[in-house]
Amino acid sequence: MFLAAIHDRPEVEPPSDAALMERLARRDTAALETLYDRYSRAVYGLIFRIAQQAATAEEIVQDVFLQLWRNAHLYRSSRGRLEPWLFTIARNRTLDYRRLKREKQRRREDSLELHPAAFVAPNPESLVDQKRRAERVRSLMQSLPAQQQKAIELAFFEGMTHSEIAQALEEALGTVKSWIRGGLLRLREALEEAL
Amino acid sequence: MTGCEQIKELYEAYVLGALDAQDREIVEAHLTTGCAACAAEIDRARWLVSQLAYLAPKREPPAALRTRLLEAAGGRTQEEPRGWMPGWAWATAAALVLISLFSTYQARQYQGEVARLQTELERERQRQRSLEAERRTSEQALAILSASGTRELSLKPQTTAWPEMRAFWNPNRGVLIAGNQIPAPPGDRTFQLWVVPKTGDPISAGIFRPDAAGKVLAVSSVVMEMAGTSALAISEEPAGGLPQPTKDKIRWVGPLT
Repeated sequence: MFLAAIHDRPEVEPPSDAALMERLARRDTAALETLYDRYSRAVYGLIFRIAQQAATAEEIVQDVFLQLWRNAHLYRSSRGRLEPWLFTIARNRTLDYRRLKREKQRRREDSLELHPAAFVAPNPESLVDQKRRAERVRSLMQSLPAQQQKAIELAFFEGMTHSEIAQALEEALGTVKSWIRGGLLRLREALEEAL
Repeated sequence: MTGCEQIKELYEAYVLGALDAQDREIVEAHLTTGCAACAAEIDRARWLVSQLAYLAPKREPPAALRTRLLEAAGGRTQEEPRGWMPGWAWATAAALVLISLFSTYQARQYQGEVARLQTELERERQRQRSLEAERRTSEQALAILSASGTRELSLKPQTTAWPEMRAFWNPNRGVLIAGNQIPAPPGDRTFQLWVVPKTGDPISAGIFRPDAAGKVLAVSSVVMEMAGTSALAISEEPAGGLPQPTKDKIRWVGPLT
């Protein structure tokens, strides 16, 4: 009977990001472990894609999660989402690292103090889950012409400007601008589509 | 003044960091007017652009990274069960609880001793972590000081009451900051080291606090050629540091002349 009761036990919902951030603000390292297990593969994948070097990627991943740990109190009262914040900080840190090595001029908007509330999802209540969003992003990108896809990737992963991309792809500046904006607007539509 | 209509086509590229200087200045000038409508659109664009991260394939980070993170966060250092427990694990846990009920009397006798040993163990672990961190810092400091091409800089205090700090900078190994009798920043605030490039915004190179005796020995692994740099600076910032220095909180500056 005892074992039957165990097997009939309803499946426990994993804790939400918000609940974990509450615990993080109370210095609960188990919450940090859970958040790390939830996001480290995506964050490490992103950083590795930009840095192309494992040691650097590891250092930046640790830096990003430590910032989360140290600034957890900032997130407790925020309605913002954690995932876009993590992605954005991870990208900016990695591009900054590359810029340090190459001494390139800073171009991103990270002079702003980014806060989770500064990421507004189109409709948070009906947002598709992480897995399906990832599929939609990849599928939409694959549907774009190769050059347009390349332009967006150069901007996101290489931190290049419109002019630099136009030069790299040997395309007109106006074309590159419209490719990037057009691609992102299509991405927004794809992500906003009802379930 | 630029209107919302003129910049609405720039929201996404602005957040992406793809705007050339002129367009970027147009957006920033408009945002400084406090336009709530455009600020809201920028927030939407920020979320959208963040989703491009899914284009990068997920990768499993090395297990050691998880351990290092938890050590750095001051948490547990040993590998522990991850995720949700399968059914058999619940059964095992329940069985252990039953067994423990039979052993309550004996266990109570040992509780005091176990608690004392655990406290001692935790204290010893903390001491080891602290010693390990000190050892790493000393090794890095020595590597910077003994490397060829290391340059010494004087960091001048912005208030005469404070002592000067020294920086030892090696373009391949990082920066060592050293100082004595440095007043601690109030509360949980921190000092933050900045590399100030000749063009562009300052780059954070780490945070630190003096020890109880006012001694500073901090190492940043920032790697950068000096040719593109105009100065090192140290500001006082909230706990955890900020992405950019607070202008009226710059405490020390060391120009590269």
